[in-house]
This record gives sequence, C-alpha cells and structure tokens, in this order.
Amino acid sequence: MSLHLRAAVAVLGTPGVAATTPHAVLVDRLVAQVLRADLDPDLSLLAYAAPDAYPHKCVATYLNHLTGGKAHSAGLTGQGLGAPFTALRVADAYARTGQSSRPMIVVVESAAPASGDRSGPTEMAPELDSGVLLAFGVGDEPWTVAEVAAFETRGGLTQRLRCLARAEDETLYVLGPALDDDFAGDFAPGDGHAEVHRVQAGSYCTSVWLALASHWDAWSRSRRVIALCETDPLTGASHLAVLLRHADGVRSDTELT
Amino acid sequence: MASLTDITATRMALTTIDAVECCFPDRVVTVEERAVELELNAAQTHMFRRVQGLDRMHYDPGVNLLDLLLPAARKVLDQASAVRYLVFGQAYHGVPSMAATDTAEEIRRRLGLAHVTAFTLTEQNCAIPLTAIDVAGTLLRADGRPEAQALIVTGDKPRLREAQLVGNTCMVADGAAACLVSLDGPGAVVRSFATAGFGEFSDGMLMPPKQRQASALARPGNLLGVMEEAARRAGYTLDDMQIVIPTNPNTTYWTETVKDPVLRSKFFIGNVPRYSHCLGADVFINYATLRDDKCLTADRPAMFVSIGLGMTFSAMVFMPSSAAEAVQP
Repeated sequence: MSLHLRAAVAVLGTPGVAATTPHAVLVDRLVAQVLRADLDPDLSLLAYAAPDAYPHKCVATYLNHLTGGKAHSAGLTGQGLGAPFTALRVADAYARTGQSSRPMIVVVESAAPASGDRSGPTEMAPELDSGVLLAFGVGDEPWTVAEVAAFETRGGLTQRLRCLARAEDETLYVLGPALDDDFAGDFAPGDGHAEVHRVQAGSYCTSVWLALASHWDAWSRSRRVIALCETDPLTGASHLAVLLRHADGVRSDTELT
Repeated sequence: MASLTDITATRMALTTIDAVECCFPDRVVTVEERAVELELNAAQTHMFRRVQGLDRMHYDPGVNLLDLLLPAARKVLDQASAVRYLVFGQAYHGVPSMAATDTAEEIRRRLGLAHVTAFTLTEQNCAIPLTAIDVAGTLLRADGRPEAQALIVTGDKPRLREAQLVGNTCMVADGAAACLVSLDGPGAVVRSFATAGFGEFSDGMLMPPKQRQASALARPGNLLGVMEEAARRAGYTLDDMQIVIPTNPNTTYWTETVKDPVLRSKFFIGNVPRYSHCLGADVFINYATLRDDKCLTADRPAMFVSIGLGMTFSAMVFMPSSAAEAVQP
C-alpha cells in the first residue's frame, strides 16, 4: 500500500536562544498544532541529527504518549541530515508491508545557545530551534511517497534527478542549503514548468522538511511532483524524497523508481 | 497494544536471524572489584552479589566504544554476503553514551561496507535490539531484494556514573553483539513481534519516586501484555514457549516482574552472574550462549523479551532453526 502525506506542520524558533531547547519542548509545540484525532499513529519515528541535550528523557515514547499511546516508537539518528529521509524510508516500508497504516515522523533540531560551545561543525549547531511533524496514511490518496533514495555523493543525486526530469517536467525541486544554483539549473532550466525552491541556510536536519511543512497548503494544491533534495555538507551523502499527487486519488502513470 | 507484526497472516518472506555473535573485552572483574571502582559501600556491594545475583563481568575502561562493537560485527560480517543495511542499536541516547553522532557511519566505514545505508535506532534503551530486528526485516521485505541482508550492531559504554549504575540495582558491564538479519535465510525464523511504549514513564532514571513506583507496579502487566500478544500473533500461547530470553539487569528484576512462577522458570537468567548487564546486547549474548550450549530445540518456539527504560516493552517469538545458528559449535 502506498504511503500518503496527510498533514505537515512546522515550528521555528527565534535566533539567539539562551539555552538549548529540549527535544520534548519542540515535540510539545508540534503536537499542539494538530488535532489529536488526526494523529493516533501506529508507528512513530523521531528523527534528529544532534542528540537531545536532556538525554534521560525518551522523547520518542513521550511523543507516543502525546499522540495516542498506541504506536511502535523509536528514535532514528546517526546519519546527519539523512535521518528524516531514512525515517521516511522506514515508514514507507512498514506501510508497504502492511505493518502500519498511520505512521508519523517528527524531525527535531535544537538551536545551539548563542553563548554555547560552537567548536563542532557549524551545521550541527543551528541557530534556530525547529521541528516538523509529518502524519501519513495508507492508500491511493493524493500525495503518495513515490521514492526515497540515498546516494553516497552528490553526483548520484544529480543522475537520479536527471532521470526524474526526463520523466516529469512539472516537478518542484526543494533544494537544501548545500545545493547551489548550478545544481538547480540542471533540472529547472527556466523554460519549462519545473521550479526550484531554495531553502535558506540556518537549519541542518530539518531544512527541506521545514519548507515542505511551511508551504504544504499551497504546494499540495498547485504542484504535481515535489522532490526534496539535500546533500550533507559534512559527508557529501545526498538524499532524495519524491512525493506525487495523483489526480482523483488514482495513481499516476509516472513511474519514478 | 502497539504496532504488531503478524507474519503468519501474510505470505511475505520471513525475517530470519542468520548469525549472532558477541564479544567482550578480556578484562574480567568481580562484582566487588567493580563496586570499588564505582565507589560503592560494603552494604551496596553485598546487595549486588547476594540479592541481585551478580558475580563477575567484563569491564575495561581502556576499551573505547568502537573497539567494543567492532569484533562482534566483524565475526557476523564474515558470515554475510550481501549487507544492505547497517543498524546500530544504541541503548543510551545522547550524553550518557560514549557513542558519537556518527557512530553508525563510523562502524560502516571501519567494516569497509560500501553501498550500505547505516543509521542508528535509539530512544528505547535496552529494548532497542528487537526493534532493530523488526525494522531491518521490514526494510528488506519492502526492498524486494531477497538476497539482501542487514547487520545489526549493539552495545554501549556509559559515560556517566549514574548510567553505569542504573537505579542502583544494575551494574553496566562491557559486552557487544551483532546479528545478521535476512529473509527466508537458514537461521531462526521471526514469527511475531509485539511492542508497547509507555511515555508517561519517559523520564526514565529521572522519574520522581512516585512515578518510579507507578512504573514498577505497572511493569508486570505491561510485560505480560506484550508477551501474550506476541505469542498469540505467532499462533501460540506462552505455555508453548520452550524458553524466554530476556535482558540481564539482575536476577531480582525478573522475580519482581514475572509473577507466574511457571512462566518465570522459562526465563534464562544464567548469564547475569557472569556478564551482568551489557546495554542493548543482552538478548543476543544470551541467545549465543544458549545456541552454543545447544539449549535451543529446533522448531519449538522461543521468545525474546526486552524492557527499556523510558518505557518500552517488547516481545518477539522466533523458531530456532536446525540449520546454521542452532548447530554452530
């Protein structure tokens, strides 16, 4: 069964925080934006790049508690900004094997305090708190997850997007901060229906997902294909997630795999 | 009841556990020697030996996390042919663990695994290995590549004293394990999985006394619930289980948690005195011991159970195989 996106919400903090915001607080803010009846997940994945500064709390089970208490919940990390992409792949796998019909992914990222230790990579010390909640369902509804893929280099992502561009010319490419204008020009040359949305620097693990959630109402009505693309500046590993809208709930003929 | 895998109701390929290996640092200390290192008093030390059932354990502060994890992973990798995923099942998340944010990737790199997706599963403390098996099997099934395999690596080293001495009832020791998961392989067949998370107890070690007491009171029922559900989903009852393979926090934990003496008699706690609690790796270590001692009867259901602070309860029914894993010397 196909996984389809039912709801997407985001939270974004203000710069210059005095102390690191716990992941649990970001989760509280996200869940507060969604009707509990719209959640009730059976699979709940908490994805992040940098660990919680308050690590004794199991935020994944806390999130489960806030959203119905019936989910198989776990944290997924250890991949830099790839964690939410892999969480989506896991959720898609559970849906396609009939093990989940209401998966949920929450991506959280705490800002490093302005006065704090910024000796690590700057990408791992984002300036803003941010979080995204993505609630999914299963079935041939609009906006199914068509593809989630990882590439060891940016070149792999480039090749895959060229295939996508040949198959589908109305794609919205949502590019993370590490992907530059030259990269964008390959797929949306300006004389077709494809468009590019560039995500501003400042977030790391949440970047393209923040854009998706923030623009979801508009994009879900106006676009047909959304490709979320990001390269990890720390490792070069690149990630792609493609969402497809199917007219009247019928699966599109466009095959992206 | 939380997410449940009912393999028997589908016609999909079955998750199999095709190899399990565990490794420990050479250094062995008695519970008294470790108690001195942890600055415990005589009464506390006595409690760990006489009440909690500990005797000795592997512990070496000079062995770093990767040195702990990699030997078991290499032994399993020697038996693998097509690893597609590497899952690091990290017990502690964040500061209490010595794991870095890129530990999964570093394991992948040091094992020389190319074209492998490596990531960390966590936020379940010691319940994480069973979720790792379930996630790995699900990814393989969804990929539609029947030959692909997943390597699960478990084990952790606590950075903080409070995490080395969980609730003053559990001494964390050094031990790591790895597991090879595939579809329809020659190893033990996973028949079902049941798990439930209780986020009202998500503060774990920092729960106030009242909440800690409520968590302890709810624990027997919560565990029995997932065990019965896993057995039912596999088409069995708990009476059918030949053995239950739990984690090794101590011996009294299971006396307090499993009220039915007949069911409790099926719990394998023989490794508590010699290995103590190895974060995230206990169930695989215990499985390897039972396999090596030829204590697993092929084609009779057995069950893994794990409880993770925070609070996750999981149970998995598997069928030991007469091939490969069950007959290894």
